[in-house]
Amino acid sequence: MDEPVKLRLFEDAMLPHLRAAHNLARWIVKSPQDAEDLVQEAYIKAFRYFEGFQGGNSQAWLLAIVRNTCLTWLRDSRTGLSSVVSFDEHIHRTGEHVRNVEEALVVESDIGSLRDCIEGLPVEYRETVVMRELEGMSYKEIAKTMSVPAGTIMSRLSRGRKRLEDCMGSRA
Amino acid sequence: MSCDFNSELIGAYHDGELDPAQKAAVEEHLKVCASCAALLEQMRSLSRRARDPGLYYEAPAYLEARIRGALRAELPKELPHRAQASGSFWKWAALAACLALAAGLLWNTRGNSAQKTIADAVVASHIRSLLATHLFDVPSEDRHTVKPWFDGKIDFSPDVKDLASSGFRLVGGRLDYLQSRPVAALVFQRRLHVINLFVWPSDEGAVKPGVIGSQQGYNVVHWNTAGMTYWAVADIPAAELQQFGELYQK
Repeated sequence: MDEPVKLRLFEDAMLPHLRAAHNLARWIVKSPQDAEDLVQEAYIKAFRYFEGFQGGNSQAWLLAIVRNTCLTWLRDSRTGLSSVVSFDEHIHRTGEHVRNVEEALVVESDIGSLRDCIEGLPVEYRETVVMRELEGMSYKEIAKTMSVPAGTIMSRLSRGRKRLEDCMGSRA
Repeated sequence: MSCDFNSELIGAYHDGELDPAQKAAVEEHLKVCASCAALLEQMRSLSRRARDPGLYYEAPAYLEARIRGALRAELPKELPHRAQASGSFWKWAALAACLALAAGLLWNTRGNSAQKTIADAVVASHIRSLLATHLFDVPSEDRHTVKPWFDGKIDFSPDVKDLASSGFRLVGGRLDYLQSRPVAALVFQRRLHVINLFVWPSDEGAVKPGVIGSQQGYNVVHWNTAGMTYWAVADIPAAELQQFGELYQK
């Protein structure tokens, strides 16, 4: 009946969502270093608020905290620096994914374009697309994470996808 | 070719989010509308490409270890047990209430639903006290030590008895949390078994000790006396726990 026990329960419930937490944070803030720091910050906050967790979907609960932490940080640091970091990171990643030159050219150009287009979305569409298309979360889960009705998720996804198609079309 | 069909519904269809009636309506429409069928195909293609692992930002391996370390730094350092109990009690208590609720869903027994709810919580709390290696806030066989320990921590003074002569030895007490309120948990030992006796004020009339139910080998005995409600739980035979209740109520 003490903090170490709470910690153990917390870790068992929340650390399995680290992969999703990191992916979401990385897509929201676009910078690897900041994403890691913010995920860590979110986990510390989540631990402090753990008594507020009423059971149910632990992933949606945690991601809501990750998301809030990231959005707050974005608001506080609108300096334009993050887009520079994201550009460098993109060059770096392209190098990582080379399998053979020819394949890399085709795959990277397509996936690279999609990455750029998702990154170019306004954050509310971007996070919705990431949670649906990359995490495979249901509308209900996404809605819970973002504290909005499921219908809002449906229309944000619809608009987000439309923008992605337009963006990809303009690059083709 | 355009159409005025709600394209959001095509998306929801693609995501498997429609109820059967809506789903059938969309499917009917897709048969006759080439532009919506093309839109659906576009979404399918996008979703396929979005599943490329190259788009997923995997967490670096060191991040989990880093977070575990940071979480440990959040823990209070080397506090005396009592201070730690009072400092973290409320946070922990709320969590305990959640767990008790969860355990309650697994409990199947007779009795009325209010009693059942409490019995659920009592068993969950008992199991937790054993798992958590936090059986006591005040380890003592002396009731004159255990009883005053609760002063100022709860708004009532539990009747603490030692029934060692009958084979139920008082071993300590702690604060616990049940029924949305702090309660006194008195801990007794019967041979190698632990009995948790939960006590809190109640305005229900007197009730003689009776077996409320059993679950996973744990028996629960409940009684009310002198404005207090008592809930005893242990993995000893129901008859023995009943005897404990009768001795305690005297």
